Amino acid sequence: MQQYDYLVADTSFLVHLDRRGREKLRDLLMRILRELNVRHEKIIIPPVVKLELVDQPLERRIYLDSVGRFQDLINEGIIEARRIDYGDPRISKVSDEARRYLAKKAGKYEHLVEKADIEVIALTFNLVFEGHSVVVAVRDKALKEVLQASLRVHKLAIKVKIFD
Amino acid sequence: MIFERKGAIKVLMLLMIAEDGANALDISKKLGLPLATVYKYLRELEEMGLVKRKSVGGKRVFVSKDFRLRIQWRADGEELEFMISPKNLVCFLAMESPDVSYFIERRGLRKFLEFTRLYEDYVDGRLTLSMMARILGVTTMEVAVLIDEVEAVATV
Repeated sequence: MQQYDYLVADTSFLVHLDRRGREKLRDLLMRILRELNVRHEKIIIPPVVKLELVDQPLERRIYLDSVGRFQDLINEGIIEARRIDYGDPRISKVSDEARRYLAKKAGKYEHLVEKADIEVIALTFNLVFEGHSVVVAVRDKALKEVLQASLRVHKLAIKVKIFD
Repeated sequence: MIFERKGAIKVLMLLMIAEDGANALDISKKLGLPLATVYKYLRELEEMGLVKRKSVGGKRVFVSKDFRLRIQWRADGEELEFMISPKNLVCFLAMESPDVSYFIERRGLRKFLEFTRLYEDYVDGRLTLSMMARILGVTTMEVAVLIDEVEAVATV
């Protein structure tokens, strides 16, 4: 079975596991990492996903139990927020392509597409360009389609597995 | 009238949320209706133009056609108008779940109805969760929870 270096996750995937898993979230995440044969036993998230899972809800005081669980996992190092190196021109190029593709799909919502919307994709390519193989866990339909298209264009399907 | 028969409505609603359609036997088992009755309802729904036959993965199934019901509703002195379609019906089916009720209580029914409208674009891959959150003026976590709840209803 192929081994991957990292698992990158988006907000929808982590929220789904927190709400649906019959096990404790921590145990469920570790089990998924083992089943997917991920070398580094941690979930990598881009800065915007940390914002969405912890910072924004805390500010609005909603779903505090979930926020607490995500914060604990971040403190424990099982979930790690990693910055994206936009200084790498390849990352900027991939991000711009992904944003344009999403804007084209969005149609009348084109003006609403922001760089943060495709951070999961930018982070994935960041890791791949560093020489790693990645599993991307994403349930957001639009993101998944943009990621699939980006991987096809850059012929990187062999280094990236999409998991939902 | 077919809509006087609750069973026929159940058949139609099942087909509205079944992405890949369903055959008569599956419908009969899921709804606990006799097979002959299911066939009768399907014939009538076909004649009304609400369902059609289709081949999915080499199997012949029934699927709902794409239609929209415009609902105008007056509640507590407020007039609300919204659309129900096969794509967003699951949102309404999820309304009684605790997390959806919490959202409606916190954000209002009008905001939830706006969500049901955007949900169709989400299902078509035109909107991300964060874009939906920005349009609605709520957090991405709230939208993620709503969608997770709606999708759980769709898989039952």
